[in-house]
Amino acid sequence: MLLAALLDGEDAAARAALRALGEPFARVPGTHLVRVQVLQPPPRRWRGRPRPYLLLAAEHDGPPEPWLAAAGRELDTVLAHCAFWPGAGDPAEVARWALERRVDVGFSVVATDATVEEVGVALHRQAEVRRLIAEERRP
Amino acid sequence: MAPSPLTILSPVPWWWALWIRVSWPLARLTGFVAAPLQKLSFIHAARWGLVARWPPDRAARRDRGAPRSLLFLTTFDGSAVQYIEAFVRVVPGRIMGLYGGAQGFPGVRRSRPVERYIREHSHPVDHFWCAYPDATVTMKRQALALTAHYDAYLASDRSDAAWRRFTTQAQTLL
Amino acid sequence: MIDTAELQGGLLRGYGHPVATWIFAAVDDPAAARVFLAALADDLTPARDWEAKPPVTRNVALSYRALRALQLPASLLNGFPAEVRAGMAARARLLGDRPETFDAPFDAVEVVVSLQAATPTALAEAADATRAALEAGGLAVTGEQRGGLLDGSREHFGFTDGFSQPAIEGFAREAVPGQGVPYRRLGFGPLRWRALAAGEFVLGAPDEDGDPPPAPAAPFDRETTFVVLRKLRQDVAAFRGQIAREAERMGLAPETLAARLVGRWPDGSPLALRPDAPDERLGNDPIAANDFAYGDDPAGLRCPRGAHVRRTNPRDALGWDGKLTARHRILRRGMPYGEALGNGAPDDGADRGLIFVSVQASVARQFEIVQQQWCNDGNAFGLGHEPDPIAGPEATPARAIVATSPPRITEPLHSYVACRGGEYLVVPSLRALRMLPAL
Repeated sequence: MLLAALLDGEDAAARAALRALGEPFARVPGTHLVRVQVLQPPPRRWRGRPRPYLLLAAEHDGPPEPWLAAAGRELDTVLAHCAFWPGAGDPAEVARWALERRVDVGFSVVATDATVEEVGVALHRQAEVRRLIAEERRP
Repeated sequence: MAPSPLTILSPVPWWWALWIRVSWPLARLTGFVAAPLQKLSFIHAARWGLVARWPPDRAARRDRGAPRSLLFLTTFDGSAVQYIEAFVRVVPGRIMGLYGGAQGFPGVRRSRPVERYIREHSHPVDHFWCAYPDATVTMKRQALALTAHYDAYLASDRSDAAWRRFTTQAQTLL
Repeated sequence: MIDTAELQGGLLRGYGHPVATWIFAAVDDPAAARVFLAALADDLTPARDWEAKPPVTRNVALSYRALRALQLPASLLNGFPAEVRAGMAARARLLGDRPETFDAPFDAVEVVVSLQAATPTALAEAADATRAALEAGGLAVTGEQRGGLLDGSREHFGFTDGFSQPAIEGFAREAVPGQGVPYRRLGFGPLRWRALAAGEFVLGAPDEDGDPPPAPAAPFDRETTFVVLRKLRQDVAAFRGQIAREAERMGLAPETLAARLVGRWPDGSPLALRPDAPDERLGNDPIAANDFAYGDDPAGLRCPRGAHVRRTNPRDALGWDGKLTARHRILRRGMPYGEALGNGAPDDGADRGLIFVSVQASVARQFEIVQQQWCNDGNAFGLGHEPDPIAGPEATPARAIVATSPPRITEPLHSYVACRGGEYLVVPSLRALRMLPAL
């Protein structure tokens, strides 16, 4: 879960860039779920309007660095609207940038700890077993 | 119906943030909060984070215009109304432990004020993707559990009796 | 507290008459129609107790389209729930309906006057008088649909119907076990049943959340409810043929296969209590035949997890002693229509089925959840996306697990219940109707 400040006046452009995305995360291996959004915090009383932020949060397999490197490449046009975005060229810089903007997760609930691939295989086999039972056959 | 994402940002006073910092490690250790939520078999993922500093990036100047907040991200099957109903009717104590001190949180005696609170504090998700949009939490869990039984069958003598045993063991996982 | 003199009858308690008709009308002259409906309030059957059952009952319901045609102020119209304003056809994707197949007059519903009577003659006389009155009252009659109970209170597929209505606090069936909300005292001990809050079915009374449900502005805020009216055509010959073929393939008796899809035997005895064979005496006992739960049968060994009655009223099947089902109950007040098709008779092409009528304070939270999440999908019951082969979408065949240990799964079965139109309707209080000319 990371929160990145958006450059002044670029929240609308960031939102438009997000909405214009196709399915980039289909190309990021190990991605179960991901959301990216412009987040506008509510103002505190007697303070000015806070700046908007970009929220990126994902459930993915494996350590964060390779995932971030791949996600960074796919989201480069969106992340370019964030302050201090180093570009997607250097995975180490991407990881450093993301780590600095990480929100510590207090706790979490996740439906399963299987990998994306394991889930896919399991769903496929479940469908196969169901079909075999319906047809009264065995493998 | 594909799973749905929900992002809720709840401003909290300093003393509630303190409570969160103290109670969360204990909750994590004991599984006191997570265990019943796991049993609510429509939650793909739920994560709570405390945003005490905006932005989290310490090299940047602190944005004092943004309040200390509890950030809740979840992805779920079914409708938001049913999600809230489950929280209010099944795990009200845990929800109070998370939100009891949040500004404007109406308590968990009734669903409708909580629905209103969530509407007022949720933020639209601009881009959402999931690997298996047709697979619910229950389907994934069943499929994974079935796989274990199926592997055992494939490693057996694969007789009629073994097939009957496998399909009987797996009948609630189909 | 519900004022039963202002609430229309036939909702919280059924009339129990054997024949009915629904007369459809469109608003022709808004001013005249308002005056007519206001005067009609004096001739409607209220919900209050009667000493002798009226031989003919009369009630009226209005779609949002009718309320707009009556030119009610926008400030009042905007207070109706979104799904009622949109209308049932706009919810087709959610419901699995095909509006292009809707029959007149169910394809454009405005005002519906429903009559029930003790005899067909009394019904016909009342219907004639009602049609004439509507035409003289600024409304144009667009059609009529007659209905009537079949022998043995069965529906066209041969199953006894009308079981398992919710128990409502302060009204009928309060003390009937299995009809209300399950609970355990202090969270453990035997499963008990309590009546549902009346506000689940009538605006103005507290609902299960503890407060009166969201309501439009006065005078539609009290003694008012929402009805879902649907014409469900049943292809009896095709249903019987499919059951016979699949039963033969599986080596089951057709009655057994059908019972496992429905969750009750044709005589009404529930599989939850009689998994292996029907029990006519139990089926004829409305108290005992509803005194069961599913919590002790999570695997569906007695009553299959996807059986129709288990889907449409899960009781405690979703866990937590029924806490997640209490707010999704519906009252059903429908009636079959069309002549019964004799046993073994070939398809005669006749139009027959069920005029489905459900009553609820929130169509979105109650009827739509039951139809969309529980009938049209199986995930809540651990069955993936398999719909109900009995009441699921016409266009989506369903596989059903109809035997256990070891499990046996049917080939894809078509639902032979098809929605041929209907609408979400407002049932105003008598007070609201009388106030129409002034609104």
